[in-house]
Amino acid sequence: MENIQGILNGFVVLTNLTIFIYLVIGFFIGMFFGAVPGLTSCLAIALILPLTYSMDIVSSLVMCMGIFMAGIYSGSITAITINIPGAPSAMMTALEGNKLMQNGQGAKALGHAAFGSMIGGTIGSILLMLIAPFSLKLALMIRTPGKFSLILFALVVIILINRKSLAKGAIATFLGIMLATIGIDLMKPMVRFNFGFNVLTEGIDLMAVIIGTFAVSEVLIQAEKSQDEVSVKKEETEHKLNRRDFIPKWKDIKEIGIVSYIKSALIGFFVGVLPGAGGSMAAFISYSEAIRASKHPERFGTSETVEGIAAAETANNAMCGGALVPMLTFGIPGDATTAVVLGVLIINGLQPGPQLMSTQFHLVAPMFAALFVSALILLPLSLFLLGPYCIKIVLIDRGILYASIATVAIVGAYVSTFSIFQMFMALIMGIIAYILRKQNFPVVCLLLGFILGPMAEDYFRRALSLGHGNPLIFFRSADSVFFLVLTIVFYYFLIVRRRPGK
Amino acid sequence: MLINFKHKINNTTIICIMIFIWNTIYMIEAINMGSPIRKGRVDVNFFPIVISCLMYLITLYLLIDSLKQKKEIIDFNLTNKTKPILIIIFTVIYILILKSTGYMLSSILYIFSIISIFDSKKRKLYIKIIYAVIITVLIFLLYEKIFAIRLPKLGGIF
Repeated sequence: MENIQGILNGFVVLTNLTIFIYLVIGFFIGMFFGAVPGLTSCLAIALILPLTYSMDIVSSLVMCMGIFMAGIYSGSITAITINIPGAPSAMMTALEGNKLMQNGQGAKALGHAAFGSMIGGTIGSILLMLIAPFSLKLALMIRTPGKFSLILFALVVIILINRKSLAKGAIATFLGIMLATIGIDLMKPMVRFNFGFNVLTEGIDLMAVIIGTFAVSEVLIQAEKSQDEVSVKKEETEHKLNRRDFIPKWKDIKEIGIVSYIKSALIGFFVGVLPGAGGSMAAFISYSEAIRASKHPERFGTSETVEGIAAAETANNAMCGGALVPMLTFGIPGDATTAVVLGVLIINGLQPGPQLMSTQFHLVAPMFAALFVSALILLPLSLFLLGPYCIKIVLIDRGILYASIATVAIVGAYVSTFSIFQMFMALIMGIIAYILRKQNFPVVCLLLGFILGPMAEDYFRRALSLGHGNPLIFFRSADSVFFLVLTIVFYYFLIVRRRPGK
Repeated sequence: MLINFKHKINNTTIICIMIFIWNTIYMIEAINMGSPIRKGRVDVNFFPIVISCLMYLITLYLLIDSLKQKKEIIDFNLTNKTKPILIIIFTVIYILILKSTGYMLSSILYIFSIISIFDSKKRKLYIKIIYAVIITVLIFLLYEKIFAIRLPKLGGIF
């Protein structure tokens, strides 16, 4: 009852005009970043991160939720219209969406993508509101050894999710953990890993890592691309889209089936809960399941059906709610964007976890409400109002775009730390991320390792202290054993059972 | 082009070697801190040593794997790296002069240089300067006026 009251209060907070304006601004920023290929909602939040210092925390979080939901959805716009997914999670949408576009049914595809996103985002938000309070109760039951095992589970899953190259995922994660150890020790007032340089005593700021990993590296990657590689011809964006056609026909919705929408939303939500999984995986699994369950699997990938679009878009937007569950209740981000949102909380002095959810629920509840309102109201409204013009976003001049991003990133690193050293760290992290990305090392793992590494070490040392140095303490408490077994189960299902060729 | 290594080098191998060197420096630093277990308790370097050992194992595995994949050897061509290298150089200069020359002047120069790097349409000089000034002013307004965040100013004015 208390939780319901708290969530309702979250909706009341949104009626504050200033906060609602922040949500709308966030939504449009997210739409822009989601629609432009190469830019992501994660990058958008990384860029506004320094601004959150001077903002009210509720406004910051509400704005982030708008960016998150819109960024995931708007990737479908360019995926459908010009076959270039604005966000990686829209890859599956492009398969049928662009075929429909070429067939003169672009508005229909966009309408179904928005409708699926709306359903997925709404169900995901509702599930978040229902599940978060329960997972909080679970989180409160976990003791120190169990907390270490939980983070170990999260780190292992983050690595296992990168099935294309487990070794690259592991290296990026370990590198993140190592970089986080630079500076003053967590438990002892002692400097470590400064390699003889006094400047390293202050350690590497989370802000520098986020800005470097997502903003600076993106500018470097884009600079390397030739104009021909990325340019979109003006003619390609001159399709006429009729607003009336955006509204999906009941016949099509019936053909897809309500059950299918709900199933896709559930897949998206629970994939989101997994650390490191993200929207792309949610869309991929849901699309595959839609093919398996469809009466006409042969129609997938053609312009004869919108089932694939509905499955992928419903799932990737439902993921938004799921990814917030582990971040808020355990402090473990579900994907890159929530990792950056976690940064927003940390730099504003809030520690995600049971404490935050139980004692400062009034700060979190508006986030839930913002996610819900973004999905149910802003998302279809934005398509109806701006849909025909969104396609033009890709024509924006790259020089202007990336010069602005680079400046906001570097100035952002300055205003958040007022340290020339941290600005250089942001640049160095950008160069490291750029080199790693060029060789397909997942830099999200680096960021998650950087965030989770200190937590893992803290609980590891505390647990061993409690056990008088005996590592068997990790096998003596039920919660710890549960997460260790869960790690093995995930290893079995993600790796052993899915070997290539099987 | 000026920088064009014709030698074929597997990039993953190079990264593995770089990580191997970094890991060794890290491990030496950790070992120099003393015994990882003191009076039956783990010390500040215990966890880093564990991570470093795991890093060695994984890097070795990836290194062997990358050496096996000879067919996927890629040209290590620095020609297309000119633009990222220029951006890095300009960013270093920007970071160094931001405080002393103030936000306005340094940002106009920085944005102008980035626009020039990305410019494929060979725009006229004055157009690029106008863009640089507009973007600088917009970012200034965003930080200073909307979010009341003070940016460094030359002589406290500009």
